[in-house]
Amino acid sequence: MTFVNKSSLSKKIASISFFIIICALPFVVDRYVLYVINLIFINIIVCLGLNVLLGYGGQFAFSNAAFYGIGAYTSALLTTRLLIPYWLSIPIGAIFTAFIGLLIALPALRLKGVYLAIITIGFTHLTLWVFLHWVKVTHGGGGFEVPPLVLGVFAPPYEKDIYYITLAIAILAVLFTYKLIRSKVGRALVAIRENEIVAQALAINITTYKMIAFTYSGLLAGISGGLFAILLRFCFPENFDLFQMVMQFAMIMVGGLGSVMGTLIGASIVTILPELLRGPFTAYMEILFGALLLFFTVFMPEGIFGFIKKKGWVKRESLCT
Amino acid sequence: MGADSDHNNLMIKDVTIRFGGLIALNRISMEIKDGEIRGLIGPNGSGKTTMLNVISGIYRPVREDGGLVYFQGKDLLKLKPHEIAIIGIGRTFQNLCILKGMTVLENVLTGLHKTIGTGDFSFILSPRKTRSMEEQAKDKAFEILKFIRMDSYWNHIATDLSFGNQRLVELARTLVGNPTLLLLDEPAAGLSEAEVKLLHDLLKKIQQEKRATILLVEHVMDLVMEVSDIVTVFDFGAKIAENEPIEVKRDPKVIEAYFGKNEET
Amino acid sequence: MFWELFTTGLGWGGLYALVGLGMVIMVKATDVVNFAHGELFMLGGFLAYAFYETFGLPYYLAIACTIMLVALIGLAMERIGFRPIIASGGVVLCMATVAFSVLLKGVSRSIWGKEFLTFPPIFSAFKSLEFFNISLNPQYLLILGLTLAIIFVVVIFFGYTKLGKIMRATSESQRGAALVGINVGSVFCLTWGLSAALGAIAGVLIAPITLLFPDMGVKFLIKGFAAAVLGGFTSIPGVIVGGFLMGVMENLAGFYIWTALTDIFSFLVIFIVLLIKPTGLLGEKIIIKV
Repeated sequence: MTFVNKSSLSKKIASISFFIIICALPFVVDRYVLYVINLIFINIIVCLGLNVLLGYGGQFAFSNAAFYGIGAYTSALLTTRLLIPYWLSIPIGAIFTAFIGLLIALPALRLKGVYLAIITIGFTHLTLWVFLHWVKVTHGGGGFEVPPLVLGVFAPPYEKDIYYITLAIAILAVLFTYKLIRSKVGRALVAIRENEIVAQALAINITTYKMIAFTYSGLLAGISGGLFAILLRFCFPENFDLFQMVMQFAMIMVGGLGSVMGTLIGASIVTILPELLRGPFTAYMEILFGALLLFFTVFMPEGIFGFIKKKGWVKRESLCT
Repeated sequence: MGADSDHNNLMIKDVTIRFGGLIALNRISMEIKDGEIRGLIGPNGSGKTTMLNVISGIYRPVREDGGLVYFQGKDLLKLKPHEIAIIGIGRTFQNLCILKGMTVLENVLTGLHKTIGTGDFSFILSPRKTRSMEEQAKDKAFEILKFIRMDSYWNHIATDLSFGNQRLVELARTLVGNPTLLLLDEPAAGLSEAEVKLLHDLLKKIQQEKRATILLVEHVMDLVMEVSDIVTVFDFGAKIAENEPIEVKRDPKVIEAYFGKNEET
Repeated sequence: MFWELFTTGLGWGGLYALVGLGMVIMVKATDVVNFAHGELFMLGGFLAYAFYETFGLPYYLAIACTIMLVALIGLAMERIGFRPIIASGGVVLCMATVAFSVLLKGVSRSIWGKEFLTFPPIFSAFKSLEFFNISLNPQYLLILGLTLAIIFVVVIFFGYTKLGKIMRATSESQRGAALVGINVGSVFCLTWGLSAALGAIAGVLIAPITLLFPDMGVKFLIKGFAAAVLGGFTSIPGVIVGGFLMGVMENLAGFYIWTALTDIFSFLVIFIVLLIKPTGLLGEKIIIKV
């Protein structure tokens, strides 16, 4: 197997160089680009959760946008109203959102396909409605300002300061998801996606694994929601509506359902694209996303990662060690 | 249930299943002994697959209809399908149920789901233990693949294989969990003559080496008659015969069920 | 007060039933839930405005053109986002309709901008009618009457015409229909066109009594879902009953219990029905065949 060593050595060198570049970026690029890269990291985190739920687990749920919002609002409100520091409020927000994810799993156990989609659309709308109307707590439609996470190490600018935090959390999320997928959990989810009856015949408890999938998507959405609030330094309801959900769907469809690498690719491309077309095209974002999602759904449902995998340019992501 | 249950691996008593007005199983009773190969035949729609579905927990008789299904003394009607799989009952399906998107090895590893690891997140809590259990699982998977002579295909995407090979992978996936009772739903369907011969040898080998009890639903008569110790015959949801293959072949009720009444005889 | 609420509720309920009906027809024939159905409804309203106000066509011609154009859009959706991927399964197909939903909303927003548009009512000169001491807005009565008429036509179509029976046969079993010589592809086209047309009609009917804005599609999509879920997603009489029930209950609850309920009533219906009896009032249980 010596020929493998050579290519894995060059792969190692490539990965390390890439990592060094990523770490060096904040010193080289301007503030706006840093903002976008931070957003990419955050989107990677939330989409990893969605891909585990939809790509691997096959659960067509619209709940992720609501989880994202709940994470953002919980952390931001804990910090602004109760003055809890971020290093505490974000984990609390994440755990609370994970718990909501667990609750949403309960109806999901009995509902399949379209019914699951409908009830989770209802859930996302209801959550949005709460953000808009529970003014006493959430400040309503106008949103509210969120204090910055001040480390003081790399500031100014602000985006540089929080860069390494979002990077670190994104890396952790990627590693964790990768390990999760390669374990029996990943295989169980794929079995459930393909054929629930067969999965049960293989001693897989559908209930347990659907709960794990929803809770995990809630957890990652919760963490990334908190980071999003910190990045924007503002929190308002419209960020967490069905358009957010479509953006997340677009990210994993463009990248590739059921792959970690695909999530990275999709989140990067779909985050950058609207930023490239800012200016005269802001009004056309919906058209852009709709067309993008449609194109990939019809012509490349396997996503970019699936496409390069079919071509043989890249190895398939294994479900075992 | 008493000492009796130890001799009878699987005991079915008075099971009735209805779908709306249609009676799929009509007060079926069957007892299968430990280590037996039982063939289950009958015309299409006679309730054979429904019987397997009841045993594996997918269908359940309504309370008013009563009925008992016991396996090694355990009441199967009280268990969920995945729990039934955990206690040692494995099954294959009529429509090919290979898991798409997975390689042959991953398919078989999924069959080991209940035996791997201490918990679902043990890969964080005890990574070394998880790694060693995954390695053990992979070894077991390769063992079974060698048993069915498919080990060279381990890294192929399962759906790229030929139909017959996919059936073998499905069988391996079911066998790897070391089931005590194996429910096979038309495993020979669509196989070539050579592949059926292979299946025949395999079933005999399983019976001897793995000491599993097998309930085999089949239409390929040669296979069923050669491999079974006893054959049960269903027609329209009722049991019409249950005997050694040679007797069943001669049974006029069975012949009538398949070919209709011959007025001249 | 109760009777005003009741009749207004029936008016709205008729619209919900119409929107839901368009969706249920689609689900029954193609097993796909069209998440863009709300946008087809929205386009019904906007295009009616465009043909009537912007292009100055006579009232009824404008409405006819609207319905035809939206039906064509439905056919285009079938050709682009349904037929090519029909083998890919439910999730991918629904994802395509989600994509269309955003696309159509974006197109609409870029053409008509961010303003809220108004469309003139048919009875602009009428004041409210007095009837047994209850004052009723004639527009609602008109909507109610028209909705009932359309539903009646649809029920007759499916129940008694040859084409309707062909469509029903296809929705029972696509393979069986193909075996008896039905051109399933044509039935799909017809279904998409018909479903879109129903959505457009509902949009045209609502245009006079509400402000038109691009996001209204989503709101009615959910109302349609609630009607279909309440009545049973696979049942045409179910969605009709469900729609009317929704309209009336929503109106009454909003007044007598809590005003906010009118906003979230459809969500509550969806949650409660799906959690307690997913098949709805008149739907059937599906038996899994292994």
